[in-house]
Amino acid sequence: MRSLVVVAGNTFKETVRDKILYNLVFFAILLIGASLLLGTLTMGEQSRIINDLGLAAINLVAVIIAIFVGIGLVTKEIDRRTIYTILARPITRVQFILGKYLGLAFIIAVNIAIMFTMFLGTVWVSGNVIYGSLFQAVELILVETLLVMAIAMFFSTFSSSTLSATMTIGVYVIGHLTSDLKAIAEKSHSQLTEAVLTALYYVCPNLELLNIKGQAASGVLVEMGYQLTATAYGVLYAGLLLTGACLIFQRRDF
Amino acid sequence: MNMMPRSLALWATGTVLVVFLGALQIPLTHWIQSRPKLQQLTYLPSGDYLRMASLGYRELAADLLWLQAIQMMGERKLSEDDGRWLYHAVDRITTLDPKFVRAYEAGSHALCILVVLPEESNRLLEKGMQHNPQEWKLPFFLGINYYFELGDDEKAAAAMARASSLPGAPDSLVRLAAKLFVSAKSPQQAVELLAKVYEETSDENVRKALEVRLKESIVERDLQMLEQAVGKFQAKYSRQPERLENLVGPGLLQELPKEPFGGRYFYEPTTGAIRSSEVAERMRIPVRRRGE
Repeated sequence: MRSLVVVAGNTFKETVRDKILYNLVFFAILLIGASLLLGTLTMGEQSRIINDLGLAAINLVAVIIAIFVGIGLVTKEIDRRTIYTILARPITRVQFILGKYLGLAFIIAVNIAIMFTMFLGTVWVSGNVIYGSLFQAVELILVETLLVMAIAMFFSTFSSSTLSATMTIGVYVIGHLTSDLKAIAEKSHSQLTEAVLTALYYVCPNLELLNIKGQAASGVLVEMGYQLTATAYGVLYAGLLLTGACLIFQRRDF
Repeated sequence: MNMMPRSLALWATGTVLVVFLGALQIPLTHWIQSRPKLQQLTYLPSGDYLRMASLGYRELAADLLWLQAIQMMGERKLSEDDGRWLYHAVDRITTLDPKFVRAYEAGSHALCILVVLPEESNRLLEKGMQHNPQEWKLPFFLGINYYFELGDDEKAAAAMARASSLPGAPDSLVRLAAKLFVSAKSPQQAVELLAKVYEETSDENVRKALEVRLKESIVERDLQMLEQAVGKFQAKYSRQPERLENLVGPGLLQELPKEPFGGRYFYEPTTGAIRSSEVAERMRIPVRRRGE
């Protein structure tokens, strides 16, 4: 347990030193600038546009960090050969993977929390209502990011950084299209297409289940049951991917 | 070669490139701006594709398109083609985000005010009603369009009645719907609508206003019924009736209606006009429609 915490703490520090938190400045400028500018352009829908923009920006920034930092966590240690010194210590490979994951998860949670605070500040300063549904949306954004991070780590245990990034982005895109995939599969005349698409539907995570940004921006709450089920779905999926990552990583030779 | 001339050469190359770029940008900008703004949306793919392509960021994509579209609505007058592009743009925005009520409202307005395309305007409103059945403004605008733009009183009345039954709708809508039913020659529907709302309302002031309009609608219904009976009488006997009582009989009326305000109905045998002693003017909507 202690080793896990140490790895997680180191990952956290390392990522902070990579100046990953600088994105928050961009985020603040984007959000405040956009809400001031777009608010004058639109008519009557300023609150909606700020909400949409804020939630989309939080989501996008968090997912980008999850993908690009997530794939580097393991591959960087291997490339720099620091993995030897780490694994020579009393740290198991499972602890190493989980520690890395938790460290990044923590930094992403902090990141999202700060962005969300800035976002709420912008909503408040612009004189709009802060809906409870915004909290629900951001919670599911966090779950989605944790899942994407697990995907990135899973791929990075057995392939290069570029390939992992490509595959993670691929899964992210498919993850948002799965419901459409199923619809296309049902309409398809070719058995092969249908089989492939149906397989993709069941294998890839359905990230749309975690996307409630639209209704949240208009202040419509989702049911607590849905919120909890969707959260459980995301966390379990991430757990599954991490288990896979650990299994693969244990068999690797350095 | 020493460092100085080498960096000088680079600076010179950079400056030349900047000048060329500027020279290219001016005609390009001019070329783009010379096209009508709305036609820049011509190559937008259908809403369903956009919905898929925007992944989880559909609402943001809808917002961005919306901001583009409303800049175009700022033009004072649009050609019919521009109006069609606007319709396409708003249709795509609302496919991306079917709950974007404001886009339906503003789009349908623009399509009737900046350009006369009421059919397209109504299509937007009906799409909006399908996805947002609780928004009273959408059927309200639909009713207005049917009445003013298309002259279809029956559909106008049906839409207005629907709007009046939705949460948040002003109390006066139900009275407007009643007027539209009367205008559509269906006063019985006006009476039924008003009676139903009257039963459901507890506010005393609203009930009073509703009661007056209900009685006026009953007068209107009775007058229309009596006028029809006069027509039938003429067809049957080839003469005008002398008194209203003549209208009671087989194939005509079973009995004369009672004036709801407590007055009575008068008949002018010379002109054939029927009126109520209590209501000075017939119920009508005192505004002109398009083309009148």
